[in-house]
Amino acid sequence: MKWIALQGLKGGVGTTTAVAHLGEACHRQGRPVLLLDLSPGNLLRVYLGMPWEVRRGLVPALTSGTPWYQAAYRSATGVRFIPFGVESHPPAEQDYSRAVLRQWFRQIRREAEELQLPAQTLCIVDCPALGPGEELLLQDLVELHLLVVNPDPGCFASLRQREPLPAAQVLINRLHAESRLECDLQDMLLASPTTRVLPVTIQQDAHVPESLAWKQTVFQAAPASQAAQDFALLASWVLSQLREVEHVS
Amino acid sequence: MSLETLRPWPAPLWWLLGQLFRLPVPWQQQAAMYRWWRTWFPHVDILHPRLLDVLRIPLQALWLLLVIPPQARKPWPKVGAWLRRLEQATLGVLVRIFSTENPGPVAKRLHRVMRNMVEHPLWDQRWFRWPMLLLGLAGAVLVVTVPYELETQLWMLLALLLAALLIRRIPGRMPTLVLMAISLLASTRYLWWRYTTTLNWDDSLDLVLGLILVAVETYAWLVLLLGYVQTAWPLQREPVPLPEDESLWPSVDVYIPTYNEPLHVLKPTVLAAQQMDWPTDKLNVYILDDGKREEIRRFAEEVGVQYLDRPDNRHAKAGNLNHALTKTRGEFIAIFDCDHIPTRSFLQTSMGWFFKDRKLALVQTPHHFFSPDPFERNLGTFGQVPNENELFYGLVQDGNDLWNATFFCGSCAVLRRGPLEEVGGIAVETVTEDAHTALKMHRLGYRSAYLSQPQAAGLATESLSAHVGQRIRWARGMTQIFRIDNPMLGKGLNPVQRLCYSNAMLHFLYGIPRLVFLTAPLAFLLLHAYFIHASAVAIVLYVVPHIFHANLTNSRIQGKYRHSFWAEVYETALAWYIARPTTVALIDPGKGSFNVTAKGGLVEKEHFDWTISRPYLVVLLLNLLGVAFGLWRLQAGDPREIPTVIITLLWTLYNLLILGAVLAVAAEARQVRVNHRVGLDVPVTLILPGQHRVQTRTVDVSEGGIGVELPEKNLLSPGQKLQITLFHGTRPHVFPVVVANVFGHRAGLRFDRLDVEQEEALIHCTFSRADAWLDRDRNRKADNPVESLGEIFSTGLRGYGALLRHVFPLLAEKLPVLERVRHLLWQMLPRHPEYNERMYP
Ligand SMILES: Nc1ncnc2c1ncn2[C@@H]1O[C@H](COP(=O)(O)OP(=O)(O)OP(=O)(O)O)[C@@H](O)[C@H]1O
Ligand SMILES: [Mg+2]
Repeated sequence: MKWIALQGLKGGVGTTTAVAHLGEACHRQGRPVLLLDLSPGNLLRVYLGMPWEVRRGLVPALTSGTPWYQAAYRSATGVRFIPFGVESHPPAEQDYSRAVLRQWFRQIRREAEELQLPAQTLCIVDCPALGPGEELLLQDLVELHLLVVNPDPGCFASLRQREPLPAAQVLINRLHAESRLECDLQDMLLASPTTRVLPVTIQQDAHVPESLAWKQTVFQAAPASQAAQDFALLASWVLSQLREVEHVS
Repeated sequence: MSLETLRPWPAPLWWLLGQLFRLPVPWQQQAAMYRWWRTWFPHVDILHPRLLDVLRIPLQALWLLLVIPPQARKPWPKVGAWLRRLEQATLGVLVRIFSTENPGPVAKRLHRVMRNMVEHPLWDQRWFRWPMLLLGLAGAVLVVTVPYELETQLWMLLALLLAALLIRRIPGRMPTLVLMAISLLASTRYLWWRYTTTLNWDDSLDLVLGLILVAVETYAWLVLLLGYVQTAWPLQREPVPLPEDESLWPSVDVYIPTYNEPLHVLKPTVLAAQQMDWPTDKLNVYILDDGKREEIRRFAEEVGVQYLDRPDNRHAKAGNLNHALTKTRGEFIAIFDCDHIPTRSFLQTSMGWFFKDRKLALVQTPHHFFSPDPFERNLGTFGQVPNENELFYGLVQDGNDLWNATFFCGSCAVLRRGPLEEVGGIAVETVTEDAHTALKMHRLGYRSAYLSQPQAAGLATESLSAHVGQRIRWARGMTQIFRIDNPMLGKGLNPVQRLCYSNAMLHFLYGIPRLVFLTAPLAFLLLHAYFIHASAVAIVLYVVPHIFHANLTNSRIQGKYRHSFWAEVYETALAWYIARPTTVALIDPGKGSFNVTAKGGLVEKEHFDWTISRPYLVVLLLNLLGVAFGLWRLQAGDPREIPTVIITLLWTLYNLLILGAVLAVAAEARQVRVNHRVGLDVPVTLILPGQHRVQTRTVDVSEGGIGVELPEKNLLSPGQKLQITLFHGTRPHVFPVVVANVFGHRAGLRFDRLDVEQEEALIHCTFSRADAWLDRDRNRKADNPVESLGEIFSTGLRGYGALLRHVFPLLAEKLPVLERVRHLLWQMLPRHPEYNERMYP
């Protein structure tokens, strides 16, 4: 069982989108997946078509003492996932602190080995965006940690300020190919010696929010879209990368 | 994994059945039933019934019941399998013995013994080497000259035939050499026989005709021999990497000579040349404009390249280049005709050898064409049958390279300035200045190299007459060199270089020989001259091995670059036109004038080029007359002559076939576009209104537009404006386009006013990509002599069809109707069942 975490450099860069689509794409390529939502926004489930009313999920289970894996669902296309869930009495913000989330994750990772999941299941974790001055949430706990950024000057500057980030591999999302600025920023990131940037970039595509409005991924709502191709490519890259990790270990 | 590929079954019939009998038929069974149906009724699509199926189905059913018993699927399955197994076994043994790739233990020992023999020090002793060589030669002479009874000759024929057929299946170079040896023996023996026994010294007409034919056959034999020498061992040189330190890289001047070609032809070349991977301060691009056009000057200024013109236009292209040579001072000169677009990797690939070999003066790369030449266009063979050029660039130059005899072809090459200046710049004495310049450099002891990977591509000549004009120029020029600077004479060349150059020149003398071959059988059929004084059986027994082995061997050597028998078509089509200029040049090399090849024009209307084809029409009529006479001779002539008449008739029929193909060349097909579409398969993103992006692949590009595949049919509509993204490495480039047309899953997009920067980017993403021309012959089949003959046959038929259509326009009007009737009848005919596994719709 391999674990990948995705975390946004800031809010709204498309982390949750990337997790849902990466999961769906891997699933389509024949690799069983389990998606885990660790971000209090609880939005991952929307891409997987879960109705609003259902409040169950990881956190309600953990706090009420029931086994967390009983909060696992399967989407219409067969992707397994665990939503974050909604607590009946939501605690104050800092209760979902970095330390708490990490502790939960350790428990989950340990217990997941016991579960009856298909062999070779790939687990993908959606993390809340990086706070100011924070380190990557799960950097020492997963095989692959992707840092999602947008190719805009803000992200670029904040990335530069945080360098070096040895544990992270940077995934560029929402590239507007027609923008000279964004292409130049991408080139600069690719050329940077301290930052590892994925060779796969996800382009801006209006099919993404539209699919979300249908509570689907682009693979169902717009299979011919650029986003679908980009995410499929991303999945291939991730899978090949993991094979390399296996090879080394 | 995915569920949506199982589409619902579109089955009106099953649906009907289901409706009638209220049967829910599961789709697997529907599929099985459907497959069964397609096997036995391959021409009736039950899912889309047509009116005439009412007739087709019973006809086919009758046919199946009465004519095709179910067991008769594969006749003689046992014997076939048995033969195949025998063949495989024999081959396996042979391959194991001869193969150099992974030899077995026996083969290894054999190779060792052979190597010991070949490398034995005795060979270095004169007293041993020369006698042994003479011994070998004596053996060959014996084989060639010993007279056999016809029966013995027959046995020899069969033995050689079988040997060649087996050897040809063994991969490697050694078997090729053996095939060459067999072929040479057979051909030489034939020629010997012709000289010694088949000339009738008693009859003057027979003798004169016989001597002409023998002379021509001797020429063919010589070209065959020299061709074998030239192509025995293609070097297949690999590029050499450049030194790490860029400061060592020399400066390169890029010359782009032009005379009257329009700007839109020149533009991509200049932009691509500018973008070649090379340090910018060491790369200078020059447009050498002999047209002295203001427009071109302005363009040069705009994109930042140098513009050179000169007061006069002496010596045409050669003079133009020489003038530039005095104005620039780069250490190396790269030359591109104005319509040869270089890839960005051109210099990186070709310059390395100059570092490795200080005496190297020239690196030549192929001329690759992305548009069909008139032959390919009119014959409809583009991308399927290798064109006329390919033999030369694919094989001959590569073969020359082994002997350090690669010559300069005027474009897509790099020259070292020093040697070039030493020979006085580009040669101006002949009209093929390129080859002559190389010859002069070789004479001074400089070397040349050939890289067979296409690193530039361009437009082929447009119209047939221009194409013919260009070939005339080559033929004339090469003959001129043969006269005024004969490679067999003079200083500085080694023997094989002399042979290679001579063959290149002799090759262009094929004009008269081809015409003789086309008309020779008529001498017998019309004039009743026995120009080959021998019995029909003897002729067959000697000619068959000669022709058979020559074709078999050439098919093996050249198959990738020239399909069997196509040389005949290409050469015959040009024979008449180059016969005169070469003969004139042979007598007086100074006569005649130079003509520039027109490019970028358009054949506006389908028509028949009567001027070009006139001589062939005359020959055609003569041949038809010959056939008539032949038939009459069969009827009324001496019965003892019948075998001879039949042989001559067969020869005439073959000639008629070739003539048909030549006529097909003359039927000029209409060209639709000014901008040539170049097949290109790369990812492209369509940016639709509201930032919707769809990724697909391109089909083709041209300077003015791009064709893309559509994942959904109604994605685009004509007139719609959008943007597309193409990639140059990881870097995306966006271009504004307008949808020009939509056909189903294809759309043609027109670029919407690109600025200079965008045009540069477009060239970058398309023509000048380093891998642009790598898979040029991707979907082409290998040579198969029998299939090739079939190709020529159908091409010939089309040629005659075109001729009839243009002679009788009335017929042409009726033709569609006739075609429809034929099609209808054809569709009605019962079919052989198709035992095919993949039969889902
Ligand atoms: N490649 C894309 N093209 C177009 N829209 C995108 C793309 N990726 C994400 N979006 C849109 O951006 C919005 C934010 O995405 P998402 O919720 O995945 O971001 P996030 O980083 O998870 O946000 P948060 O930090 O709040 O968790 C969504 O509306 C999504 O549809
Ligand atoms: Mg999120």
